[in-house]
Amino acid sequence: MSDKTNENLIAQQQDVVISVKNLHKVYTVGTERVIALAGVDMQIRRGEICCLFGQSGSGKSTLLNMLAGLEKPTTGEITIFGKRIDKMTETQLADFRRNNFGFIFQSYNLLPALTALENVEMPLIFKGAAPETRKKQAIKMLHYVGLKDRIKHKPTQMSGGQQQRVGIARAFVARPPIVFADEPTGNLDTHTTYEVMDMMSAIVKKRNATMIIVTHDDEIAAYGDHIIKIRDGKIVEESWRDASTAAAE
Amino acid sequence: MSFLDILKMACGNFLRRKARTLLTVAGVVIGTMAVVIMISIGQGLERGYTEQIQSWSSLTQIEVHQSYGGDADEQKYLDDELIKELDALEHVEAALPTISRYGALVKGREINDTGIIGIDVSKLQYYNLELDNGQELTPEMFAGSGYVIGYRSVFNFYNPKKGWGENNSPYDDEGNLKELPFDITAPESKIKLVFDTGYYWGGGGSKPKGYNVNCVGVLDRTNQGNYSYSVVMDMKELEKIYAKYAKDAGIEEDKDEKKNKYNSINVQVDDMKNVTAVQKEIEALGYNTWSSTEMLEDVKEQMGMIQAVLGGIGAVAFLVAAIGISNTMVMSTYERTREIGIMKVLGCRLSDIMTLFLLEAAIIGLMGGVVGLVFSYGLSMLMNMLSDSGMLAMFSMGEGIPISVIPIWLAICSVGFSTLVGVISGFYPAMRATKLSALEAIKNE
Ligand SMILES: Nc1ncnc2c1ncn2[C@@H]1O[C@H](COP(=O)(O)OP(=O)(O)OP(=O)(O)O)[C@@H](O)[C@H]1O
Ligand SMILES: [Mg+2]
Repeated sequence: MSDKTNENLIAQQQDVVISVKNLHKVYTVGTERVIALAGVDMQIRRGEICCLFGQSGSGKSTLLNMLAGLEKPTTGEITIFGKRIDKMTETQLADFRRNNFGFIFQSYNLLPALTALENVEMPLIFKGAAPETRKKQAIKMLHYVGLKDRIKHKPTQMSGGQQQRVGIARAFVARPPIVFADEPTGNLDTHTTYEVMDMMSAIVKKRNATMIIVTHDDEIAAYGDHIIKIRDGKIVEESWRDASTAAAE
Repeated sequence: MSFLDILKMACGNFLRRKARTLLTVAGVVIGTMAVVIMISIGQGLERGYTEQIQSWSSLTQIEVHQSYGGDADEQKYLDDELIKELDALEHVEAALPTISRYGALVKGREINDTGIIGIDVSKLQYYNLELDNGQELTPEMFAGSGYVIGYRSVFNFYNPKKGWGENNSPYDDEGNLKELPFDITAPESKIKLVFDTGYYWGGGGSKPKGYNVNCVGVLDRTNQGNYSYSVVMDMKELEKIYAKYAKDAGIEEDKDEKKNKYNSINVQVDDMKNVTAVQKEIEALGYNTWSSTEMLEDVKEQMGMIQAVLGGIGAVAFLVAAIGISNTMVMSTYERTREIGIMKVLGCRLSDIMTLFLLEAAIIGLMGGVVGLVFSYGLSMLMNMLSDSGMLAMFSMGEGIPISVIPIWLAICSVGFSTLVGVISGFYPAMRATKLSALEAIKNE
């Protein structure tokens, strides 16, 4: 191995933000055991849009939830920014999520009682930002996602696409280094899907953030730099769009 | 999250569920009122009793008595030596000796066999004697067989052969104190003092010798204390007259009696708070003591118990209110499962969620407490007004004494307590909210 490739490898190692080792998840329902994940090993690098791709029931959401610290693995290790999040307490996980993660959900999960602005402000409120700063940042974000005339609207007063754009604004407003999205376009029509996907990937690229998207849609998987195909709780295929990165692996 | 943001969020939640919040608050209002009104009635009773005890005797006086039993050689007496010792004690303004003689005032065929009390007029100011006509009483007035008499005693002149008549009661049919039946201070009333009343009762013998005395005043009618049924004179004058009588009748006094120069000694203390300490010192001198402060403390203790029982009855209503708060907050966690889940996923601190729910419960308690207190003041005023107008007289301790008294401490405590109950009631729901699985919450659509 030449010095140059070695250096490359080290550089790449340093770029790894998420590292998963031998991850298992087994659910016990009554007396029945459901194996949702059966040994997953993977690494995700900074700036990547990583697609977890697979059929329904393959374990994509389970994997994403575990990466996001919403669920504990049965066995295995998850390291994010050098921290073993599988070993963290609920309180530590809340702090970690608040400081590092953004979330986009299929069903938007906006707070129905709050306006678009208040929803977007939410992560900043949790971080304890001053009212003026957080309002300014939230408005800027809403402008960015094209909702400047919907700022005072409640979620029920908006279309699905608009709601999801509020969701995107909320996910990115606190500038998290990692954003998780579980089927973000699952409830949207084709046209809106592209709009939303373009918007998300643009922000991620601009900020050099990392995004993990769960999908069962080829078209969306096409947005990914790093595509992980899952079947029956295992990685069956892994591919990189950028040929040079793929070759290095 | 800053506290202000949590507070804003809590208020937002109330506004979203106005009706339910109001109903829950109403429960706390009723609970607060139940407790406050119950305790205020206890306070009213306590004030009534205190005022009554105060009207009987001064709260800053201690009665000193001989202590019996123990060695005969060490028997202590109520004598001048003791007066000196007592006067020297700290916080003691004056030791007030009295002597008492059995005797009667005689007015024609009528007698008034009231007690005759001699006081040390040089300490007159400490005996708490005030004249009914507002005139100032001075030691000089007692010179030359001057005496004062209790207001109610003036009514007690009667002919023993005819018995006690309606005129002898100081109260009219409606229970109000009557005005004096005659001017006892007038020289023409011709009242004399006798020490032997057997003749008037039909005991035969010759009419006993009456000694000249002159009434210089009637004691304040509101005084129902030590001297209110007595004739009070300068003890030196009294002893002089008695010595005359003893000589006339050929009586010799018991030696042991004589060692007790005084029949009673009261000690005037400078402040109520020193009474107990002074009492202890006097007891250390080898005497028994009694004070109405002691009695007051007993009454206070009993009143404390009554108030605890009354408060306990009110607390039942409060308990129901507390369950109401808990119920509302638990319902709220069910309704807001999704909301809480989203907040948790977005990284909201568990402690912030806990604070949010506790704060909501505390606000319900606080609002209920404040409104309940305001209503309690209203109800208390209404009750006192009704009692003044005689409608609730059966519950009243006396004229002008309120049925219900809400002291400042009760007002502060009731609001503090209702808030605390809110927080306690909110504890389980708050725990429940923090324990909710974020994932479950956001999964179910
Ligand atoms: N809480 C749970 N209890 C029991 N089994 C579960 C639970 N969550 C998921 N599973 C099971 O684990 C497997 C993987 O589920 P998961 O939700 O990860 O699938 P998915 O790939 O996201 O599918 P979809 O595309 O339909 O969302 C499924 O067989 C599911 O039944
Ligand atoms: Mg899924």
